[in-house]
Parts: sequence; C-alpha cells; structure tokens
Amino acid sequence: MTEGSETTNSFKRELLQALPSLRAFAMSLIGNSHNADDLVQDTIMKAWAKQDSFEMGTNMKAWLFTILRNNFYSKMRTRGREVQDSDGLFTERLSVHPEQHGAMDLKDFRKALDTLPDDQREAIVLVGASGFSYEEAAEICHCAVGTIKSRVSRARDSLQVLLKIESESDYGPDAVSISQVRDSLVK
Amino acid sequence: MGIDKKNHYREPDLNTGIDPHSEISRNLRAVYREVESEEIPAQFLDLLEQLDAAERSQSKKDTE
Repeated sequence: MTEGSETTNSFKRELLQALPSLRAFAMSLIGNSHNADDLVQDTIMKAWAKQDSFEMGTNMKAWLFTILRNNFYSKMRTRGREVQDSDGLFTERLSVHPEQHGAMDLKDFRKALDTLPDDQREAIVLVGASGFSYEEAAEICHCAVGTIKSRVSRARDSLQVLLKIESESDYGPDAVSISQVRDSLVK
Repeated sequence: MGIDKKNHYREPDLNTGIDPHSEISRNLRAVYREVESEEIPAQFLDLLEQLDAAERSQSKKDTE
C-alpha cells in the first residue's frame, strides 16, 4: 500500500466517525432532515476535495463543522432563507419515537430551540451538545470567544423563559414555584 | 458511537453558566443524540466509496 492511500484511508475513517455528529449539527441548523442530508453530502464532497489542506491529527470534527457551516451560510446568502413550516425543524423527528417516555417535554424543548435566532441556536448546540469548547466553537463560527459565550448565555436565558411558559400553561400556577425551586437548586 | 479521542470529543463542559445536569443541557443533548444515534445513511457511505475509487483510479493513472 502506498503512503497516499493510507492517508486517504485514515482521512476517510475519521470523516466517517464525525458524520453522526455532523448530521446532528446540520439538523440543528436547517431542521428538515432531507435538506440537512443534502448539506452533509455537499460537505463530504468539499472536504474530500480539500483533504490535502487538512492536517491529520488535528481536529477533523471541528474542520468538518466549519466547512458545513460555511456552506450553509453561503447557500442562505444566495438563496435566501427558505420558508419552513412552523412545526418543522427538529420537531419533525418526534414522530419517530412517540413511545419514548418524556417525549412531550422533548417536543416542547425542540420547539423552543427552533425559535432561537440562528446564531444563538448554533452556539448553544456546538457547546452544549456537539462537545466543543468555547474556543473551538468560536473558530467554527469565525467570531470571538466572548461572542460565543454571550450567545450561549442569551440562548440559555431564552430557553429558560420559553420552557417556563410551557410548564406554567401546562400545569397551572404551581409550576412557577416548582421552577423557582429548581432554579434555586441549580444556582 | 463513532466518536473517539481523536475527534476531541468530551462531555459538554458548560462551565460558564449552564449546569451540565440542568434540564436545558439534558434536553439539548437528548435532541442531538437522537439524530446522532441514527445509522449513517447509505448515500454517504456510497459517496465515500465512489470518491475513494475515483481517487484510486486517478493515482493509478498518474503512476503509469
């Protein structure tokens, strides 16, 4: 085996390993799974074409996320934001697991997440779910670490407000005191 | 899961404000993992095979 094909194999292996997380990130950006997979497909082709510029041993996942994100925003700029049905986005996936306990809560959460501005949603997803540090997230989003921190913090505040509203309307006024107790435990 | 140290995966560390055990963090990870735990669609595996095969035949030509 030549040295070139070994490099290609390990590139391919690492790319495959990062794919599940890359898809989940694409879903959080775009919502609908069909478009998310189109975006992932484009990202794979771009990454493959640029593989010489990737240094093996560095963070492949962050590199792929950056390519996917750049690709997403350049498409948004040329096409404009597509109209999405209000129940689309992450919410559509709920139907797959209706039997799951606590699925109601997750559905509410998805809706709340989908209402966040794009920059806040991607920040909280990258740091809170994809497993990136603030520094890595800042690199992926081409912004300062402080910007990521403030976006995450605003996203968290909005989610707290949104989720509290949900629980109040679901369970009546008692839910307020429950969430206050919960907050005091968290702090 | 196809996540290892090489990809620098770590448990989300939300040390500036989000408690990793908070409801928000748990929900965030649950939503994400639901997609992450799906099988990689065959279209991606096929695509990688094709890219790989194209590259191999190209490098073969180059060395001839």
